[in-house]
Amino acid sequence: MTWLSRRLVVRALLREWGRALLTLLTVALGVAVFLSIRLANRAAVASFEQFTQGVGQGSDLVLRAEAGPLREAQLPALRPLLAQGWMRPVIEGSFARKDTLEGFQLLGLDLVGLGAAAPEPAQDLGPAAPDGASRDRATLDFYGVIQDPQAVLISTALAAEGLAAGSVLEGFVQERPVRLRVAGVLPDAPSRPRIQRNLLVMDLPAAQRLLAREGELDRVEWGLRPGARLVDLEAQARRLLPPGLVLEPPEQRAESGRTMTAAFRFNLSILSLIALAVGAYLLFQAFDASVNQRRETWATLRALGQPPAALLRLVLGEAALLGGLGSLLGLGLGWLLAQGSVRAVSQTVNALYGASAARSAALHGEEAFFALLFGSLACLVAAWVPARRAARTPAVQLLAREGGPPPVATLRLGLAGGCALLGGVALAYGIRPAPGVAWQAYGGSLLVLAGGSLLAVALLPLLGLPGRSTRRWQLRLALRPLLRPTSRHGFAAAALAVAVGMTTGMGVMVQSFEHTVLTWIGSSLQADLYVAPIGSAGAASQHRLSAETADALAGDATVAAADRFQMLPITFRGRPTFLGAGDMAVQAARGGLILAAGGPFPAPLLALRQGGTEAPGVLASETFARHFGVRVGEVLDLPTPAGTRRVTVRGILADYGNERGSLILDRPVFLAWFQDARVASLALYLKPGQSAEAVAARLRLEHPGLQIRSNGALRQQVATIFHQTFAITYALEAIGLLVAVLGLAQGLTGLALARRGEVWSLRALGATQVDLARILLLEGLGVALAGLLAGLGLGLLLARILVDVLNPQVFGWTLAFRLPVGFLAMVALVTLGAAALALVPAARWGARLGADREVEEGA
Amino acid sequence: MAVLQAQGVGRRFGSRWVIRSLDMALEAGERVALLGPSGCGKTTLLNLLGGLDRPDEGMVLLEGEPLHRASPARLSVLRRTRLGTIFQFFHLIPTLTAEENIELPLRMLDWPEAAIRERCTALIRSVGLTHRATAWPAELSGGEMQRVAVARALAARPAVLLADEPTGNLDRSSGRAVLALLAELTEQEGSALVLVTHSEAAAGICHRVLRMEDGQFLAGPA
Repeated sequence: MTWLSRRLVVRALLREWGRALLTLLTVALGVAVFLSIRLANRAAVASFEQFTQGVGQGSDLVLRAEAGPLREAQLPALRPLLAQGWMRPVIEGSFARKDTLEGFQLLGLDLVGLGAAAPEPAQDLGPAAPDGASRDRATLDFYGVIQDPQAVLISTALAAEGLAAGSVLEGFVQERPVRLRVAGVLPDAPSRPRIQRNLLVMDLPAAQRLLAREGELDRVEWGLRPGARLVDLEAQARRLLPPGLVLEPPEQRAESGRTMTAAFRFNLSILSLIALAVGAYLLFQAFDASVNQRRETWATLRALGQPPAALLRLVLGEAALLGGLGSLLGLGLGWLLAQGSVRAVSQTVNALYGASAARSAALHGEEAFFALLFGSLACLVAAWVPARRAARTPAVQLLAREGGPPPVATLRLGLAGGCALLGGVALAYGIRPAPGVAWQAYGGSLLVLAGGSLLAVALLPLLGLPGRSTRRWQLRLALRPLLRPTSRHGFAAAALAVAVGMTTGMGVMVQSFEHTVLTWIGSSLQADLYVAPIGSAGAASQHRLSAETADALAGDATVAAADRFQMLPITFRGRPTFLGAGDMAVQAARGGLILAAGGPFPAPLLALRQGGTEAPGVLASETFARHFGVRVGEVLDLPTPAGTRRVTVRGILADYGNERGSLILDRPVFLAWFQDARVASLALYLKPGQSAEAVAARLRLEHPGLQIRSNGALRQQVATIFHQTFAITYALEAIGLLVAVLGLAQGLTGLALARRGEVWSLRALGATQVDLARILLLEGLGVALAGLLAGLGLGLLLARILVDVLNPQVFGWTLAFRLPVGFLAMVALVTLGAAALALVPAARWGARLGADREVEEGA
Repeated sequence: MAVLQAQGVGRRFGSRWVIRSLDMALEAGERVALLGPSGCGKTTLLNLLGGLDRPDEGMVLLEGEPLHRASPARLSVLRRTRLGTIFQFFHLIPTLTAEENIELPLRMLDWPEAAIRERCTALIRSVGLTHRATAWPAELSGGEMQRVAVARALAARPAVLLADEPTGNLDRSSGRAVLALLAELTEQEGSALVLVTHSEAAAGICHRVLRMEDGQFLAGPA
């Protein structure tokens, strides 16, 4: 550090500690917002992947059935592989705790085979313990677990909540009430991620019995023996593989989890971008004010012969110092903020996917590094613009009391903005890449954002026009500066336009989404009651109703018809998706599915029923059709436990239930091919005159393990989940908007500083502080209005791209665009209201500024 | 009766008294120069006389009304109606044209539009800037800007005009022209003038000269 930088940077920061602290806090806030979203995002994805992976870590290959369960009887064919590898059979299920209805992942593992408790370790089951757990005999009572069919091992996190060995966990598996006994705790291994809290491990046979799936497995994990090569194991496995089984790397399962949460993570990614933009904007404002306040110092240095480059280095050095310190402060603040946001994310993941999610966010090293890098780099970039301006401005101009930043070329900016906007629209709509890829929509959206923000600047002179002719002097003085706006006006308006635009874009998209989904639900949900096992949530739920219970409910005296719906994960063309089955006769007579293609309702459904197993047909969801490029009339090779079956696509269904898409068979065909009479959910149509609530109340008493909801209650739940999903979106958008408004206030104080001579002059002419504050406030509101108008416009355009291009392209969802006038009015009111609230203190401060400064300079 | 009076006024910044126990009186239409080197307290006294700052001791009376006790609202009224101010650095509003700057005090007083036009036209003619009426401050020379500032200060026919180094930022010939204009217009309008300057030549347009040094008048009470 040079003599000059020590005196002009460090000493100045220490002497003007208030300014330094404000900048530090600004940097910290920007970094904190950025980091908190990233940490919440990471926690959500990590917990989801942990949930989907279960104890899959440590294996090199995973064997599973393409459709339906993997049968233990199929394994002997793979015995020759044991020379090269070990195997770990796994069955998965769900357990819902009775008191809280909290969901747990139930994992059945061959604990004898794991070798920990066996007198002679079974070598063919390999050396790996669940999730890297060490074979700690003091902690893991393997004998106890094996001997007791109700025994489970729990995570250390759950044990920390007061569950000791011998404690009882009461709850439901499938629809049956069960009592599980805690036999021990799965210790965390230091080299592995922590075992997820909601994991219960049982011995394999006990788990199969509990889940009523004797002889079935969900997957078999394979690992290499020392000295063996993966390529050899894989090649031999593929030769021996019985039909209907697939071998995949373990990452594919994690990938399927990532695919499943793509929409959700997209939502969070957009929020990260908002956080990034907002943070960078705050930093720019802070450094602009900082450089502006010390313009006399820079001018003096220039006058004394310091070259512009040296000046630039000084300002950037200060920015790096503040950026580094502020970022460190932001790490702590961001971690704290993340604890709140991760809970909101966790709720959503739980509600949408039935996966237990993280409850707290750890300060991940990589994220901390990125946040530090972001903070420091953003500070340098933010300081670069005002520093370069200060370095380039002639000293005499910097010293001039009337001197402020020069006006910006609004016409040029407006033209550039218009071109960017048109280019963005053309890019988004003009190119159609492969399904699932949407670079053109992202690129188009970015161009629209950039164009809209430039147009916000170009809008300023239009809003200043009344200032040309009005006879009201306060209005004239407030609006005249907008006729020739400076970069400060421009940045404030552009930043607000971006914040309002992203809020509007996402908001309109979410409202369109909600309207579409509710319309779909309204049409699809026609039954009076919906029944599912307690703990069911999302397409990935493992809870199933037994055929007997389903028959009993369907045969109830009050029930006119029942639609048994089953859903299971399958692998189609090497990619994970779902296969569903419903009663097409009941649906055709009483349902209301929305068909996107294949003819009017219920013709395609009746075609499925008529085709039976002779000419089998299938309905594809819209997401499935888009992901796999499938059309009506196409013949598909569907994997089933009975072998591959050729099915014809009879119709395309609108379906917003899951992101991976699904194929739907008629139930009799499904039963013939899958031999699985269990159901995931049951729709009951009551006889005329029956009260849905009364029947539901009675059935709940008769079947305590079932969740029985009326049509209205289910719709309400869907709406609640929907709102919960986007709750964090709204919260973070509000933060983004708030920060942009605060930036606007900061911009106004910069403007007041630059106009202090003018303010002082007006005071001398007799303007009161109220007059001056009013002038500054009106000027700020003019900037806010430009940002708001441009933001609303670009937001609507952004929403159209999200609805028309991005959603169909990435997720396969066709949404109906809806213009929510109330929402737009609310955005406008909140923006202007928040701007007014933030601007009032800035304006009052600016109104007092002139006198104090002049007195100091006098004498 | 004195139109503006200072009685034992003093002002300190921190523990240092910049001016102390000053007495002065200004008759209607009188022109008084405050002459002295930089830092002697001229501008501080001017700020107290104009009600832009409050004394730590003593009182300032404008047409008998104590300025140091006036509320901020009352001070604003007095500044609009009875006081005019001219600065060394002009302080024109950059977003208003020359004539709009001049008419600003009249608009603050809600004068009728016709009266504003009439007064503004007369003043702009008086300062010789009819041809530059619609120019922006950035398009004016220093001398022209100060002439606009003089016209603006006199627009509301103040009883007292306070001018702080009005030629300090101008070349000699522009300075002379502005001083001549000040003398002529204050004479014409009947306004008293307090002129802060460190130039003997500038002080020459005044009826009286008060010399200051270290916060005190050199020749006793004025």
